[in-house]
Amino acid sequence: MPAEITMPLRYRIFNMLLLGVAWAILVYLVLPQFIILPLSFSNQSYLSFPPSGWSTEWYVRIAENPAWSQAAWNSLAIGIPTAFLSMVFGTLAALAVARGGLGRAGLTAAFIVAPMMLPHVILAIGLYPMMLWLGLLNSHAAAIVGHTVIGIPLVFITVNAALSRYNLALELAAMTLGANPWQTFWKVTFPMIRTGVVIGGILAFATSFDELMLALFLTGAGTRTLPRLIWEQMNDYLTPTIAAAATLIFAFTLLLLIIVSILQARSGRVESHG
Amino acid sequence: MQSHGATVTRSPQEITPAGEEIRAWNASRLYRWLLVAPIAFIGLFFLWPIMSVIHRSFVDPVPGLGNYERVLFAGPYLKSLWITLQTAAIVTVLCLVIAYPVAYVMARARGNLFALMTAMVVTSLWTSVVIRSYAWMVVFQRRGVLNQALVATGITEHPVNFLPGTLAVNVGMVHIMLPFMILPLLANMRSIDRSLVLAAGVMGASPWAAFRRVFLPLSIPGISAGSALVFMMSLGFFITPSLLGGPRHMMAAVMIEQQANRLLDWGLAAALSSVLLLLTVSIYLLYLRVVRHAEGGFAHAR
Amino acid sequence: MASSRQCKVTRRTALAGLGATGMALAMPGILRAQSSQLVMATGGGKLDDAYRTTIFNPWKEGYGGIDVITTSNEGARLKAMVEQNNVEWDLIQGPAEELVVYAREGLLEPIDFSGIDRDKMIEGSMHEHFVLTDLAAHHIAWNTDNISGEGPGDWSALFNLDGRISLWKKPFQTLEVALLADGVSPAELYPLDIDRALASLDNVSDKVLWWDTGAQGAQMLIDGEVDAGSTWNGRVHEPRKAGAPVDFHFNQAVLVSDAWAVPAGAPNKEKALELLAYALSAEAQAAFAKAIPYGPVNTDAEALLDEEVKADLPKLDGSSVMLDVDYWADHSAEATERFNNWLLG
Repeated sequence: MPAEITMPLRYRIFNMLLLGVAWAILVYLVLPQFIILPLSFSNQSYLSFPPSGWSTEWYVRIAENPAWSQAAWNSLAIGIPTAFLSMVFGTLAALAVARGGLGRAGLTAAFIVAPMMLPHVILAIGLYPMMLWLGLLNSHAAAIVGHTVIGIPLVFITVNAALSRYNLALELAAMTLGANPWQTFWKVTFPMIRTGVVIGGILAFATSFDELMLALFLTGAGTRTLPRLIWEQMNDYLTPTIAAAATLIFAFTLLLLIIVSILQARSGRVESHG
Repeated sequence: MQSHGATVTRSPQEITPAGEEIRAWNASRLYRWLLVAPIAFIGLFFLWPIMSVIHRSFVDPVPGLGNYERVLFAGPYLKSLWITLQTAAIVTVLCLVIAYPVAYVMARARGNLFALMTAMVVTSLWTSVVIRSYAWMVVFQRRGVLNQALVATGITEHPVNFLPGTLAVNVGMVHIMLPFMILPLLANMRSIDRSLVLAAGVMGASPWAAFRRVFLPLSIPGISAGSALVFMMSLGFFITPSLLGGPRHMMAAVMIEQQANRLLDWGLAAALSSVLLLLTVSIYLLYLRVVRHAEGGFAHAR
Repeated sequence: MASSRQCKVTRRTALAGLGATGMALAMPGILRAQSSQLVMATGGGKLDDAYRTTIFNPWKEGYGGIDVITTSNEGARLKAMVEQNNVEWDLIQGPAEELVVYAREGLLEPIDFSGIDRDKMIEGSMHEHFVLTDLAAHHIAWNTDNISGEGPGDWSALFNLDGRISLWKKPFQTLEVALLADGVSPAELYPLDIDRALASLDNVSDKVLWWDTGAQGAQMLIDGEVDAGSTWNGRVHEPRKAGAPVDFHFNQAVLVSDAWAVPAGAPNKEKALELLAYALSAEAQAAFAKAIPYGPVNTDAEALLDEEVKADLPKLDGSSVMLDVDYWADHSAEATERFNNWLLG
């Protein structure tokens, strides 16, 4: 880009510094993984870093204990619907608050985000009788409902941020040009908030995936989630098993992201050819 | 969608000559209907259960305000509420300062580079908070990775006691909250039209001025979203401060859990929770005003 | 609320939502009707494993083929279940000082001792609403890389240690430790002088690292983050055997116990009591003590244990002191409040 070529030297130096800082922070984000990975291959039954020798015993243990795969499945079966429901409800609420011209938009927003401010144990105590009454206790649905309550605010806030006034003008323009509300939403509004919705969904999934208290209250022995299993396993002293579990989750996420980026690259190519 | 039903019943007085206005007006009516489903869900599965718990704070063990008296005038509860708010505020500010440059760089990145950067953020988000906190223990302990490096490079002669400490606990907490700041910032920054910044450059603004006058104001929605998320999520910090922080890092969530789950004093736990909720909702409302003001202020500056 | 109605709803939802096996796992209530299963809430981990191999499995084989499935023992969930008349658990295991609080809250069934030979049990182990099932030690341990030779001999030596020490961030047991360190004799420990205990902690607050979970406490010692400190013997026994740089002794140990109880309104009380009686039998107690180094409460079990195992078991002797659960029943709330207040300075 011409503007960048003509940049004075000090701005180019600043840019490189910025890049360096950004990468340093990204490395900081993945740093614990570099601790967890060697721990998971330790040959000792207790955690010590660096390990004195290597072993795959802990992975074998996870593979041999069906509780782990069961819990992973439960976590996904709860996390994915949670992310989806949070995305739907959170987006609807954000649209209404940002565009509805509500008299008490602030209070409405506070009501929607309030579940984030409360310790989960209190919500769990309140939800227990309700889930029992609905006959959902110990099912995935109970945890999905509980996690969606805390997932909605995450989507609400990220989508709300995408709905600035700048976008409103585009919507009005579309409607003035004769688009109906439905068309306006899908053709104009949604593309602008899509990233916000997806990111909110990712955050909601991650929160559900690591939530303990509601899981302890609302799931049963057969629907226990990964955090609950880790919690139960960690009670005595730390073994490399949890490090192995964390590494497997990490590897799985990485694989998923690679697949997504390959698919994206491919669809991008198709689009550019078409 | 229930919104369609709303358009059919349009009363005559809503029709005004100004075509654009009425469309906008109807659109906002439509949008208001979207609130029904989420409000119903939150009302049913949050407000109702929470009210039933908070009700206990007035009747359990005896009717009256005894629980609130205990929370407000005696014991460690108010102190821990204060510590909680303080911790959340510190983590929010640290996250904002650290996340902004990352999001800025990520927003410019394309292709595989962007995919790699996103992967680094998201995979950290996916790793259990408990496990990450233990990993930071390994880093910061006396014979930990950091101390080994410090002694080996001769920066310090003897290992430093990082645990428990401000540095360790903040590094641990910021690590957990950083994705909650980076991702909303990223979403916002990627929607910012960079040609506006370039245009400012073409019109003679220095890159710094273009950033400050154009980019920064446009990124305020991202800043406010990320800050709100991080602040509110930080209120629930539990295991990380207990593993990495000292005895004074006793968060309200820990105390509420102790009362609710160990001592089974639900009245007190509910009273403590409702004070926490009231405080944080007030802070949030105040915050919304400040943000609106800031956005407005920048809008005028433009 | 009529439980039959709930049951119907549960079943319908379950059939709609889950496959047959998923349902069996998710809805213990349904299988309970067939009485082939007991549900026990435990602390999980190694303890759970030890219960399974030394108590549940032999009981199933020898006494009527009933499976025991385990789940997490959150106190608040117990309270919610009892309040809603929907108790899913037949038995609960937990630290005695926590179960005694549950008993005061009316969450536990009085125990019918007819199937239990009370004369064989050590003194103070049988309570109206719960039964102690083992003796663990809250004791002094040290990192052998940091301290060569013998570690601190008693609590006062630990408190006077020139180095960093670790203590549990809870009033239970820690206040006892603080008083023992201050020279209070075991016989005069209860009722606890909380002021004196906190003053004793004041002297060491600069060098204490507080642990929250047992796993964390053990890890601090193993890593050498602290030179010495308090821990439970179940947390450091195996690491020491596996070569971790940690050692310990039981001098002046505070003996603490896991306890078993039947939740109020448990669906299979009789079967639960049968399992409890088996868990207290000499054979089960001995097998359990071999799996995890917690001493038996059944005096007959000693004869079934060899010297090597017995050496690792905490026991009540002149120096050790047994945690007074009745004291904690009355003072948990107050002591927790004062202790937390003290922590926050």
